[in-house]
Amino acid sequence: MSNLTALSLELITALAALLFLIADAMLPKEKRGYLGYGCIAFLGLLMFGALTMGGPETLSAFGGRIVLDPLALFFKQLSIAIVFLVALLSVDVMKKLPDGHGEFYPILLFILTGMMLLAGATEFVTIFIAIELISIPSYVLAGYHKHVFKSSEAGMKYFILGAFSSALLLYGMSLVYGATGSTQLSEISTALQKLPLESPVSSGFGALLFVGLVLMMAGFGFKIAAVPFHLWAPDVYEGAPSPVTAFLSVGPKAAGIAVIIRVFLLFLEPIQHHWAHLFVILAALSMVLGNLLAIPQRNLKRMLAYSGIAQIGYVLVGLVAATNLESPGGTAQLGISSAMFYMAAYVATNLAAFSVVVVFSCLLGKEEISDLKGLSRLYPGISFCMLIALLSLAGVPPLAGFMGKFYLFSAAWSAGFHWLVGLGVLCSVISLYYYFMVIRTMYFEESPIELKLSLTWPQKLALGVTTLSILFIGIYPSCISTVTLEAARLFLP
Amino acid sequence: MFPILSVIVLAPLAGAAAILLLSGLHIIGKENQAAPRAIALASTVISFLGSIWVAWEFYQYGGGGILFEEPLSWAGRGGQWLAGLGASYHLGVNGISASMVLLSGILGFVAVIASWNIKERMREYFTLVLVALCGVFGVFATLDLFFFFLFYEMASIPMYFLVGMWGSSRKDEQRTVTREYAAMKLLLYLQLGGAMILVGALGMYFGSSARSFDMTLLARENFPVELQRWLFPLLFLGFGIEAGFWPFHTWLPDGHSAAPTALSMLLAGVLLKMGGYGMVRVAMDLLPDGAAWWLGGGGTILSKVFIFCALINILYGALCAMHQKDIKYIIAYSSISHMGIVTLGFASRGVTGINGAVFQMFSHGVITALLFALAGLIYEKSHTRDITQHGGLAARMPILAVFFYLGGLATLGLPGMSGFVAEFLVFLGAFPMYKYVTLAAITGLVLTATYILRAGEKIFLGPLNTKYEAIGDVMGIEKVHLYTLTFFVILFGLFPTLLINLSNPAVTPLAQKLGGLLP
Repeated sequence: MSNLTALSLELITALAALLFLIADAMLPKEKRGYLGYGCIAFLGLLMFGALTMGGPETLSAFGGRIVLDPLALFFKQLSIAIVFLVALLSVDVMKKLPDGHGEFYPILLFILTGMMLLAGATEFVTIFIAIELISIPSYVLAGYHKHVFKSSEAGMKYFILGAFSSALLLYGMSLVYGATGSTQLSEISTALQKLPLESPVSSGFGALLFVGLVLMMAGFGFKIAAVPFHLWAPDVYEGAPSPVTAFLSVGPKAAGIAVIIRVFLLFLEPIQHHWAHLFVILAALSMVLGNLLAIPQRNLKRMLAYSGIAQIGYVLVGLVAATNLESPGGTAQLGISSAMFYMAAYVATNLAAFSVVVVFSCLLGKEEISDLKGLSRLYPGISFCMLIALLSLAGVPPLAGFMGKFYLFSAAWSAGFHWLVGLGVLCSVISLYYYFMVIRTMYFEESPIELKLSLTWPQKLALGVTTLSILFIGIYPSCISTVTLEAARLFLP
Repeated sequence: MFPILSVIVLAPLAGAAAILLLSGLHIIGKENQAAPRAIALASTVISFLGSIWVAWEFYQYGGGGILFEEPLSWAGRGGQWLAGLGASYHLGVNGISASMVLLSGILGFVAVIASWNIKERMREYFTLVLVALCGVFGVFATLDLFFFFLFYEMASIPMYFLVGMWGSSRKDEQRTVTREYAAMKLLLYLQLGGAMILVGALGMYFGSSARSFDMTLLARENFPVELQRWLFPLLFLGFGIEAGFWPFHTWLPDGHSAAPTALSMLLAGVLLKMGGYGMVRVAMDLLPDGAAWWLGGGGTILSKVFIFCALINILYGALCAMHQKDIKYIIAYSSISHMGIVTLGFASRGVTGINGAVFQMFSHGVITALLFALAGLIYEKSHTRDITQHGGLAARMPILAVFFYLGGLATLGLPGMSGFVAEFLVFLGAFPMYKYVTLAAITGLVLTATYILRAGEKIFLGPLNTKYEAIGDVMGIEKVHLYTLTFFVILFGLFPTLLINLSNPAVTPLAQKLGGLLP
């Protein structure tokens, strides 16, 4: 008998998505704008429901293929928050589209279903289905501005590279299955403990396993846009409609980190000395290249794409800190907790920045950094939100981004990765340059034109919620860190 | 007990919040000049009076302990700010911090007076100044390394905006420096220093058995010598970047000169001192074995590096100042030179030398603030900072000229002024340790006399430049900060024990730990 409570959030969301699809077909064309508000209301209620769930016990369904533990619940709540904020940002943009915007919301809800499913999946096939449930609708969303060439290009690019990475992932999973004889993560973990661990690579099975791991890592690395699997990100971010870019910059990353934590750090932990070094390389490369390549960018969305690559590098530092490469005994709980904390801080921060970008690019069609000239004099409120977001991304105290970085680097230091901490801190000094160039444009320069912006309430709500969260997490970090520490209890030896 | 330190630290922040809130509610309009100014003045006066009280109480106590301790555990569980990491809001001052709190109190007050004539974007300006002041007070008052870093950032980030938005660009045959460039340079250098401090703090936290950022606990910790030798240069250099340490000093002249007057005063007066204070209070006090090794005790060439850098600071700063035409650059380079004397005092590891260095931090803070205030007033009236464009101004502005010579003589170390006591103590303390370095450093004083007197001569003496027939002297409120600063320069010049008795009880155990000379 399966315990469907473990799946309740996913089931409700999928049902709601179908209902919205039907409603879109039934409603007369001029009334379809209300679907967005319905979607916002639904997501708000779902968030409320998800927050009341919880408890330390682990529920499982379908023979342990899907679990609901604090780790999964945290990422489910985070996913709902992301989609809720993206829906807020999308409403007014979608209203302006000439035709058929109604299917946008069901697509968004299907993505949410996938993200939540992925957070609790503990079996390869389920994981793959969940990833595809996120990816395929994302391809559609990236090309949602059908008449805009850049958007179609972005959709196509994302689709081709995404399909390729899914294939890699699936191939990797099949190799691991071949080496261990199961797709169930818990059984794989047991099988790994029986393998001759001293030299598994020299044995045939070990080589198979190792290649499988690398391919899976490439697949996941693509979803979170870590260097060297990041090449799609800047082009897709630039071309996709801004609310979709806002989603792409946080959604797949949160989901990807959730699945990496579960697959690699929880279940593939017995052979961590085979894959942990690769994550160290991914983290270092992402931090260095992401930050350096963000410097010459002139387009705000491209800049944020590279900045997002750098930010995911920091999160990977937290995951690396959860391994015991450098110090036996390890500090898995602290590392995982810091990565989760940083992810939450990043979601709030990046969505705050993207709220400003959405307001700016979709209402005025401008998205170059130089278009922000003198924004602070015309719109002190909006520029203050952008300022807070950029300062938080740059890691200035007492904002969420700083607390996150501090937590991450502490975890990495206690795990013995001193050089990685040094590199990370140096990279955040470099990052100050390009974040502050945007601030400089907004605050130091005069506006050449009079802009006319009027914010609607969903946009105001999105800006307000994200900015206040940045400040709140920064000033009272324990509100998140107690939750993440609790969720990372799974990793106690 | 009355939480006087919290009041001092948080009064500026409350002022900033009040300005923001009132302008958010449209009670203070864009054109309203008086209200933000009044709020800023009120909050800095509260901090100023509080800091005098703290310094006076400390003077009467005269011990080496920590006074006004405030261990509050209001954030998070069990007093922890971030669950899983020990960091708590813990304030308290020892003798060195008390004198620095007094310095910040004075400078916060005079900085607001010096900003009296700011006209553009008043609300933002005073909000940023007050936030920075909160950070400055916090750095000197906190006993928790995590909060130390937090306040450090709070003090340095607003500087970027203040320099970039209200600063001035320079364009002449010597150099072209835009204010945006200067602001970004300042930001990147200070943050590089901040990054090194953060890494050092993490190293101490995870090297300690207590797993705490509390400086009172860390001071009792006996870190392994290897770890100390590794962490000390990181922290010393990190703080050194902020104190204008050669070869990381280049942000200082550009930043100080591009900044508006009040901010130049704050930057030179207290921001550099945050660096100096961190060197002695964090790097040397918490890592004494590392400090002893790196400051001359190690016996290898590495242990001489910091002393040579200090010597270069003193001489190179003075030589650069001689070459400048821009009055603000002259003062800025003289700051580099004088901060070298601070480093030399610390490097002597003895009671006299460290006392002298702390005295020098205080004295230099007040004197440089005075000089920058004067430079600002001269520029306001003559609209140029190039000293060769002036001439004979003493005839038209006698009061300003008198103050300039008072400040100038204090900075070159005339007996009876605070600068003399400070430099005398440093050289007295450093001579037994490093004879030749000290001798070379003393020649820096001659250079100081040259460039300060040259600047005074070009601006104030000689025949009056006909362009400035109608120029007026300082008037009204412009005099307030000049009198305040000069008062302290002469007060501590005549009664140096007022200040030395504050720092001495804290310095003596430190010198013992460092293995330096005792009196």
